[in-house]
Amino acid sequence: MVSIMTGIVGRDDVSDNDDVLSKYSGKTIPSLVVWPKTTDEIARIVRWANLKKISLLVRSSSGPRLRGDWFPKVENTIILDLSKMDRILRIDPLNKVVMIEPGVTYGKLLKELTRKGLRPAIPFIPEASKSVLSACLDREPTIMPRFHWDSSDPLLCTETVFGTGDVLRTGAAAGPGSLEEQWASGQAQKNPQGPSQFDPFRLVQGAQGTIGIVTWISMKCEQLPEHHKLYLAGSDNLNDFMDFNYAVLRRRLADEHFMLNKVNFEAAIASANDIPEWVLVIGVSGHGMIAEEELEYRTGDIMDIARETNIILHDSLGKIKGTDILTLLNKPSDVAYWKLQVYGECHEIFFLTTLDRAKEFYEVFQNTANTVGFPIDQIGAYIQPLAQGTNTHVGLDLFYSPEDKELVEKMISLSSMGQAQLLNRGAYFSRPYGFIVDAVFKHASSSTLSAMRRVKQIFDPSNILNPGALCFKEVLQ
Amino acid sequence: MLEKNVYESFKKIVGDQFISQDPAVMDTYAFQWCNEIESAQRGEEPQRFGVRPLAVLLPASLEEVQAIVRLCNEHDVTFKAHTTGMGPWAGVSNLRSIQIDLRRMNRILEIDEKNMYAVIEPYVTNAELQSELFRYGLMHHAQGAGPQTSPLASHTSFVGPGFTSPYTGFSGRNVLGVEWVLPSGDILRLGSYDYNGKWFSGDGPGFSLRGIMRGWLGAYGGLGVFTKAAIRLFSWPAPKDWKWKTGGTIPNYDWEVPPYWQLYVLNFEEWEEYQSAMYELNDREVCMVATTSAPEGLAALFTNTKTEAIEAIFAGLLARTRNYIVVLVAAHTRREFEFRAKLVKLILEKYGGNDLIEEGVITPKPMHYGETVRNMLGAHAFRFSNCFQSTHGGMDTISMAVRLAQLNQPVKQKYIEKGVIGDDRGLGVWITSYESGHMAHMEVPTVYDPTSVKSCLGYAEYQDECNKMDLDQALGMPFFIVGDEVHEFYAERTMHYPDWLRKIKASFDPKGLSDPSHYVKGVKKDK
Amino acid sequence: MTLSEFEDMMDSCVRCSKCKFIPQLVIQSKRFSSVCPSVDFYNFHAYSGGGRMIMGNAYQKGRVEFTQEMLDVLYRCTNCGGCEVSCKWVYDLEPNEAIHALRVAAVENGAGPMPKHRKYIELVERMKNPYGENPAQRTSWLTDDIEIDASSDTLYFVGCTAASRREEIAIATAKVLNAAKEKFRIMGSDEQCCGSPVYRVGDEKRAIQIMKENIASFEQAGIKRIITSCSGCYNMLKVEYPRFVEHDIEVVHTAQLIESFLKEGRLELVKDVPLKVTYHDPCHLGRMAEPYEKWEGEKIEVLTLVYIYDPPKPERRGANGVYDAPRNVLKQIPGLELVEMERIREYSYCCGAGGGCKSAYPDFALTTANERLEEAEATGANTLVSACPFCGTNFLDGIENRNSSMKYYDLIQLVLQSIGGEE
Repeated sequence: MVSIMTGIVGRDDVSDNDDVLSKYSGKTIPSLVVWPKTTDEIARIVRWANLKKISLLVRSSSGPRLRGDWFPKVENTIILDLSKMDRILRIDPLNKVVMIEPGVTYGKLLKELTRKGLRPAIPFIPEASKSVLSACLDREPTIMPRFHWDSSDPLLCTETVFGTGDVLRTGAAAGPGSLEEQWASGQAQKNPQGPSQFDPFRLVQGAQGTIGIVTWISMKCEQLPEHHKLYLAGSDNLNDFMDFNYAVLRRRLADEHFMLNKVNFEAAIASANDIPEWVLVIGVSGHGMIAEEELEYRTGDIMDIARETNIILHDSLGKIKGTDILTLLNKPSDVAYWKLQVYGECHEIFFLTTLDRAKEFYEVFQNTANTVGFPIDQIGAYIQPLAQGTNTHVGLDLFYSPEDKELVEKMISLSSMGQAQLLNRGAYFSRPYGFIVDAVFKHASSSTLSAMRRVKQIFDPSNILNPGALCFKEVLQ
Repeated sequence: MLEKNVYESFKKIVGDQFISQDPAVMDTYAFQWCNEIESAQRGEEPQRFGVRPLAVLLPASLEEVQAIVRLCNEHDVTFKAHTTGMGPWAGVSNLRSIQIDLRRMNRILEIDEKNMYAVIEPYVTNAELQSELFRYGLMHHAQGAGPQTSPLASHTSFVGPGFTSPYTGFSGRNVLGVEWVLPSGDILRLGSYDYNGKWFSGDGPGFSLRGIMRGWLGAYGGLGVFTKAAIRLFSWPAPKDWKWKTGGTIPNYDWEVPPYWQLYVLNFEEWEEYQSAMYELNDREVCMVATTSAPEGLAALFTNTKTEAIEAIFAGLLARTRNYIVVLVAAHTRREFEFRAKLVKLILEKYGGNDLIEEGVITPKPMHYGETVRNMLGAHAFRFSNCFQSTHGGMDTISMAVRLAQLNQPVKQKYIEKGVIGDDRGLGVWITSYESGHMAHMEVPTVYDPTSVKSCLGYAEYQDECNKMDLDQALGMPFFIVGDEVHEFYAERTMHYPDWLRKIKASFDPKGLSDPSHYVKGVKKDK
Repeated sequence: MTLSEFEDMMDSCVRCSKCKFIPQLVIQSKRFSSVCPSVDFYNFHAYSGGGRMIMGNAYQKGRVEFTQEMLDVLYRCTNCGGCEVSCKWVYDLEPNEAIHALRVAAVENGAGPMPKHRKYIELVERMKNPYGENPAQRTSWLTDDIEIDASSDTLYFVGCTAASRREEIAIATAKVLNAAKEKFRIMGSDEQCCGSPVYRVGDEKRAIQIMKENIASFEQAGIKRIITSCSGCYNMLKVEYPRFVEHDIEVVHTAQLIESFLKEGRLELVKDVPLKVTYHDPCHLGRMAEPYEKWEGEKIEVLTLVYIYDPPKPERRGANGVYDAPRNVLKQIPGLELVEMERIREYSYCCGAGGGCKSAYPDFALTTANERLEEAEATGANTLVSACPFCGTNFLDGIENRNSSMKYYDLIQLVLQSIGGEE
């Protein structure tokens, strides 16, 4: 195996060293880590793995794993670590798009985009080493719902090596013509749909590596604002923001728009006295000609809505200034990820619902926490409207110290019981990880499962890509 | 004819009243606009009568649709479902086929005002849905095919540009869930519905089965029947108490324009300035509509009869019209309106353009604002000769759309000179942007005479040449690259994508019963 | 025009389905968006204006022969013209005319019309009316207080329905004319059906014969002007007759006449009529009431494949029907409140009775009346008003059928009430 891999990627980019392997190990230890650098290498590895029925698991980000699931689930797995494929292939400011490889991190991307006058749709203070491509492929929520037209945004086109070893550029990138020919004709791989009568990018996205290995993506960006302000509102009742939220989302007036509970606000942004139970964050901007007037009109209309819905927006919360928060939101987390700074570890739970039900789910989860004895003040919450307000991501962060064995047990109980309760009440775990995966697919209709398996059969017939994930439990033959 | 027992079994499902096999009734389903083009492209005599279905059924429910599809599987009968059914893709291709007319499934099942989505059945039309949404201050993305066509069809099964695309996006990207009778008869509901009975997300758990549902073009009914769709809604920029009110008499209606609405026709001498302005207007989110046609098209857009359009042309409109963008600023508040109106003027100045409305070259009446948002303007092109069809259609960037327009002109002119298509000096295009300019598409509406064999053959040849040009010059994939043979024509230079489509078809429709004529056959090909 | 002359037009239908709906811009709700009673009731595309054009085309091209079902499809149409209004806004097509041509072809072929139609046509021929009433009884509605001037050159053409089914309309018309001191005569037992029920089902030969006979008898009687209280008769005399039989007799509907009486001060509406009413535009007084104007000229290709008519061809879009006159009259009745339905004027929804449907397909006619009544009820009005005895008959059947609390009056009845003529 080592020699085959060495033959494909070269000696320096293959390792079976125990120390290396341990970084990629959960309950199961992989047999090899490989660092391919080209699509062709990946395709060759996949074709070989097909013949040998060897499972492959892709990693693009280094850093912590808060979802506890991105480890081999079967023996004899090769890790494909794509972090060395870290080129920004193209930035097109006119068409507001960037093309990146898997190893590009938010840190690197932000720096380059800013130079070109662009900003990406960015998740809420991501870890510095987080792969942008991975986040896109995982439908990770981003903080500006106004620019989030479809659940798949900001992901556009991809180049994907399917489980068969076949390579396809998805979306308009498929052709006609090579990428160079497309660029010459004015294209920029902006249309993610297709080619033609299917959307393969939607099959790769959210698949947790079970359908294909993505070697680059195009990602849509926005113009960097010249004027940008941040406003905050506080309340002890999440639903106090509801009318305001719906009105502002409908009007597409704001840039950043999300809510944090006190725990997460303090963990991610800053501690202070008198932080209310919930903080609403609203960013407003203007760019280009009469940028300042754009900021004024957007702010003016937002303030009118705030008045009508009894919300008071401030440009600071005590000593914490909006401008400081803005700076935080436009860069990745410090080297030590904010979620790990407080207690050392964090377990993430997240699901989709609609904004009007977020509070209900939060309270259900808190009740379960009380039942199992997990401290409420160690549960962070992040409420992120998506798809221009059509649905909402609810992220719950369980902060704990790995040394506190009793609390770890409680965290595990809370995670399993709490998620089960949320699921039963209608929370939609569209990106299921960890404890909840099996329950989620148990809830799915038989035709959904059958359709997913058919898709899997087409694109990864040997089930070599991350076997055991999602509903694909079949054991490799 | 279907075997008597098979016909009787179908009849049991829908009832006597809702099934027919009368030849004349069947012919009203065989006859389709553009069949004459497709038949010409196949080398046959151009004609609108296509394949006659053996029966037409009018189911009223999901259960009836499912029973029909299952019976088709039992008796090897091909089926094609349609809503209003306009175009050859709505008809059947196999001689042993039935047509499923979804006309009786026409309910708006839910309007979620806060979360901005609607759940609709197949035969709700754009105008109907729109008229019900206004009371909630909402609108949907209505496709250019017109207000009488089905938003479900567009969102689930067909390419979906529309006049409000800069503001409401693209049909295929606005789908939040579907209820889908697969070719096998199994029912698939996407996304969140299985978990809470709500349709707010159509993706997951895990990957999104929207990935096999439609792609960019839609599967044209080649992969089952959609019985419900949840689609995104958007804010309707008018006060709560504003009502859709019309007055007057055809063809000169009145319409009450909401406050803070303004139409512009921004005209630029050269494509370069046009392009820059188009990018900037879209990026700044000031337009509900940003659309371009030929000067001749402008005459049709804002007039009410063919005679008026022709009079406008001969009154000198062509001489003063170059590359223009019809912009509709539709704001919610005075503040928003004033900002947007100012920016439009500044962008116009920046790129040296002129406003043809301000200069009196064309004068939209209040009703044309209504027609714009009711998506009626596309149909005005039919006024010239009762018929047109579009070539090209590639969708990616504004620059590609412009390049396509430039390269198309001499090709189109060649066919104009042959006298087989309408004369717009080769300038006839439809460019519109999507999602605040993140995408754009360009197609070429082309007038031809469906009653003239020469014109049909000539148009078909022009469309073939356009398809080849797009292939050779990497100008995106045109609209009508569908069906096995046509897909194959594009396969080699588009990474052999049809092989994947064929696998999907084979897996989900092993008997090939969901009419493949405008999708693909499920034959597995060796790669 | 014969069916074959419609072939290019039938070839040009793009099957867009606009013919199923009122003009798209005027749609205000999903509930009342449709214009075609036939496709609403029967659903298959064949039952729409465009669908019937395709059937006509298929027949013309020899693809199909008349079957029982095809004939049913052809005749389950009220020929209301709604399809044509919507279609013509965009296309240069005339689906309603093509449907008529197909009916004519069906009759010529011997397949049409339907048995019920044949029966009433026979009655028209034998008894001069489709109801089979004794012609001698045609004036039985006359009351003693009605003044007729046999020497007048103005004829009140009563029509079969008012004469023998909706006598209250005939009486009210005569009394209002008397009150306005408008002298008129009637044809009495010599009055023959205008030919509408014969013409509408495609028996054009017999219909033309009736037209000729009627015109001859009018001319013989020295008639210069005809007043009609029936929209069907109005449409025949005003619009269809001149296409086949030349005449220079002025034709006026009571709604128009009353409007002018009020303007001239010949009538005074003095009595309160405390009703909240909504007005139904009869198809034959509305969109179908635009006269045909003879046109001779040529088609000129002004741009490649784009033709115009030189001189310009009059466009029959339904814009010039009698819409304002009845409304202007209603608005002047004291105590009366007029509210509008969503489907009005040229995009009014048919009552369901026309085109031979009331006799051959009564269930369809009744359902259509109910659909329109539901729309009337949705306005909050307590009274439906129209200006056609045949629409009235169908609405009264609908009101009974659905146990509606809605009242129905003909316009002329309310005028009579308001001038105090009922006392």
